[in-house]
Amino acid sequence: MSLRLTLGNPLLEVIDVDVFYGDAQAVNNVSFHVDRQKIVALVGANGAGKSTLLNTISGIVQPGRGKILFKGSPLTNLNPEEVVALGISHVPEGRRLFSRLTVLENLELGAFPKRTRPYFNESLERAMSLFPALKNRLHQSAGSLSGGEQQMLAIARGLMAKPVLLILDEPSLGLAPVIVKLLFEIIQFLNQEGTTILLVEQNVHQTMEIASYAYVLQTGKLNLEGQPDDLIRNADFQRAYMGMIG
Amino acid sequence: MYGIAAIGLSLIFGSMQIIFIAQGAVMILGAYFTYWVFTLTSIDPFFCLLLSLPLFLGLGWIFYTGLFYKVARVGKNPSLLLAFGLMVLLENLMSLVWTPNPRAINTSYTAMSFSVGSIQISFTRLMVFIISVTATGLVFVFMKKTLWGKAVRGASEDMGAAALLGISPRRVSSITFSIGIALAGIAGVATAITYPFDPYFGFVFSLKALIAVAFGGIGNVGGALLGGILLGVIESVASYVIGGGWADGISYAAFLLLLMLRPQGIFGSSAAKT
Repeated sequence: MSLRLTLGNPLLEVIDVDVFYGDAQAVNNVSFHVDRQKIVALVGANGAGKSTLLNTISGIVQPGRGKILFKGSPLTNLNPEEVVALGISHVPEGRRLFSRLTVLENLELGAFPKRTRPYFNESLERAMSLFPALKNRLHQSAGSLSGGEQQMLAIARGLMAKPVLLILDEPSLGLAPVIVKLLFEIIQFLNQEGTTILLVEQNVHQTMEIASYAYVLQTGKLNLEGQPDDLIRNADFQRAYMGMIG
Repeated sequence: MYGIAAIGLSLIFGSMQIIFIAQGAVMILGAYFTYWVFTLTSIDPFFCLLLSLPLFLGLGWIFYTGLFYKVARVGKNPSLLLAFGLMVLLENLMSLVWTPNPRAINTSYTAMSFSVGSIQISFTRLMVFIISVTATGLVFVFMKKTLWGKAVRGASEDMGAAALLGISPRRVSSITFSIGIALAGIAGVATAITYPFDPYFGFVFSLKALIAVAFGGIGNVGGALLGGILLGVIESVASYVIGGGWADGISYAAFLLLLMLRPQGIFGSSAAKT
C-alpha cells in the first residue's frame, strides 16, 4: 500500500497489481498513484518491471490481479485504443516511431483518435513551438532524424492525442546529456502547462530534479518511495543508485 | 495481371506477414464472377469491375474478420495453412459448382487490336494495363493521402506502436486485407477478359504474384506492380525467343537469379533505424 497521503482524487491509481508473462511474474503487488498535474517518477534498473507496468496501464497487457483506475474508473479489460481515447498517451521505450513515414505523417497518426482530430492544426502548432527542430523536417522520413529529434517527435506524437496523462518510458535512453537536459526542460514545461506526467527512467539524477514524487521499482516490487529530496538522502536509495546519481 | 494480384499480396504480406497463397484462387473467383455476370446478363466485363469492387472488399472483410483475425494472433504458420486451406476449398468448390472445364469470354472486342508502328497491341491487354495502373494509382492515393491509409502504413511497420496511438489493429488489418482481396477480384476480371480459365488456374498466378512481390521488394506496393509487369515482360520475351513451353521455367529461373543476386528486390531497401 502506498504510504503517501492522497489529496483529493488522484488521476491514476494502481492498486495491488500483479502482472505475469506466462508463469514469470514481472510485477508483484504494486500500488501507487499519480496526482493531477504532478510529475511522478518511476525509477528502476533494467528488468525491474517498469515497462511492463506501463504496458499494463496502457492496455497492452492485462494485470493478473489488482486494478487500475483512471479518473476513478477502472481500466481493466480495455484495449489500448480505448485507453488512448480516455486521455492517456503512452510514449513507449525506444520511441517506436514509424520510420518509413514522414515526421508530419507520424504526427497526423498521433491525432488519430476521433476526439482529437478537430484540434489537429492547433496541436500541430503547439508541437512545432515546443520542438522547433521538427518544423523544418516535417516532410523528412522519421527514420532519418537524429536520436534526440526522434525522441522529440515521439513525445510530440504522444501530445497530438491531447492527453491528460502523458506516460514517458525512458525518454533519455541513448541520448547525449545536452539533449537530455533540453528534454527534461520540455517535460517540466509540459507539466506546468497542465499535463500530468508519469515518467519512467533509469536516469535518476535529472529525474529527481523535476519529479514531485518518486517510486523505486526493483525486480517487480515497489521497495522505496518518497519525495526526491528525501530519497536522495536515503541510504538504500543511494546504494541502489550510486552509479546513477551525480 | 500479375501486377494487380501482386499488389494485393504485397499489402497483405507487408502489413500482416501473412502469405496469402489463396490470392490466385480469389482471382479466379473474380474471373468466374465476371464470366457468369457477362453470360447471364450481358453486362460488359468492364462494368463488372465496378460491381466486383464492393463485393470483393466485403469478401475480404469477411475473410479477415471471420478467419484470419483469430489465427493471425497465433502465428505465421497457421496463417499460411489457413490461406492454403482456403485456396484448396475455393478451387474445389468452384470446380464442383462450375465444372473444371475452361471458360472464356468473348465480347465484341475480344479479338480487337490495333497497330502502333510495327507492334500489334491487343485491345484487351491494353485495357488490362490501364486497369492495373489505375488500380495501383488508387491504392497509392489511399495509402499516401488518407488517414486510414497512413494508419495502414504505420501499422505495417509497428502494430504495437499504432495501437498505442489509438489505431485498432483489427480494423487496420481488415481494411488492408479487404483491399488485397478486392485487388484479387479486379485481377480476376482482367483474367476473364484475357484468357480462358479454369478453377485451378489460380495457383500458378499465386506463385507468379509472389515472385512479382519478390521482384519489387517486400512491402513495396508500387514495386510489386512493376515486378508484375517485369515478370510479364520476361515471360513474353522468353516465350518468343525460346518457345512457349519454356515460359514458366524462365520465370522461375529469373526468380532464382533474383534471390541469388538481389534478394531484397529491385526496389527493396533495408529498414531505417529508429
